[in-house]
Amino acid sequence: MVKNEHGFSLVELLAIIVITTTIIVPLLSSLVDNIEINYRMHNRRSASSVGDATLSAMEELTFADLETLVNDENVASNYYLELNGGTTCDQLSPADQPLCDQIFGQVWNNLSFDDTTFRVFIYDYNLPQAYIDDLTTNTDIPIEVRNYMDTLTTSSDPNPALLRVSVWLLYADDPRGTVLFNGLITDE
Amino acid sequence: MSRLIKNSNGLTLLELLISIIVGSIVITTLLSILSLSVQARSDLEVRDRMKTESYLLVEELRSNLFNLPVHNAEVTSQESDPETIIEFTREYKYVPDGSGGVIADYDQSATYELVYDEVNETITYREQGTTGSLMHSGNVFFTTGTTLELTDFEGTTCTPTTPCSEGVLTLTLVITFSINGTRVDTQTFVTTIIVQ
Repeated sequence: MVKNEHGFSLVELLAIIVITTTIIVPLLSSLVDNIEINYRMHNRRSASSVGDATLSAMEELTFADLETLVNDENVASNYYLELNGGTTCDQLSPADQPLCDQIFGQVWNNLSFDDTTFRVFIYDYNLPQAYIDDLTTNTDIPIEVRNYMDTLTTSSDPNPALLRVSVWLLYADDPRGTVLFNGLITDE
Repeated sequence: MSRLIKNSNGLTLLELLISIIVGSIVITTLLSILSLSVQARSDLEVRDRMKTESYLLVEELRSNLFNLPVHNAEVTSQESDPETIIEFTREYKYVPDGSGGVIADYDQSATYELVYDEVNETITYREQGTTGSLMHSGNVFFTTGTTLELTDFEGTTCTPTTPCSEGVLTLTLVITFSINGTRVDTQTFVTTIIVQ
């Protein structure tokens, strides 16, 4: 009998490890991806509900106060009013502050936001070119909001009783993990 | 002419045993990984189902409240009651106008109730005086710890003596559901809905 007493060679051992890894890694990474995608999908859905509810609730804030605050920001060459919970609600009249706090304190399926992940931008309905130029280059404003502002038609007409509002939410620590809702606040 | 030396003796018992042991180790490892993956996927599906049930319930409720719209809201049940009932009232009721459409009749009001039944572990939305319908699948249950709270924006509970025209509805939903008669572990979801 011819005996092979050399056992496995290093190459054979490595080949086995590589083949096994090739089988296992795609299986595990697929599972991890599924978990991550699922988590994000739920958070996106919840963030969308919060954004939608925020647009509705914004209508309940006193229009005249918002208009005055936006005008103040225009005079200061900022051209937008930002609300993001915390102390920003203090700018509003005492009657509106509790609602403002509730808006930014919303929880949806355990998903909540803070002042860096839930921001509301309020600005004039008619924006002259100079305002849009300034807004779209302002890096304090998230890129998604600036991109939207860039699509607006410029106008120097007097503003009707309308304000534009953009609700921006970051639900995942990823540039793609945002939702943006745009709407109008009317003086009802 | 072949110069290969042929081993016509086959495998020894020792070689066979070693190959069986090595093969078993490899197969066992792969199977346990497969089993873990299947288990993880199953857990994921259960959690996903609960999240979806919670999401659908609150989204339907928000849609209903948005369409009302609410003029008056209050918690009408007592803490000791087996049911938590929150009433939402609109000052008018839609009635047929006789030509196929509907009109708002301000002589009547419409009251809807959100009911959490602790005994049957169900949540129902109904027009007052009707049985209404479940806001979730039949095999989904809302167990101990589930609460429905309605407060004004300052945090005061809305009651029949201090009703609210607007406020915050906080739902703490402790969800489980049964698979083949066995209940899965509960999960808790908190959602706030601004009622206005």
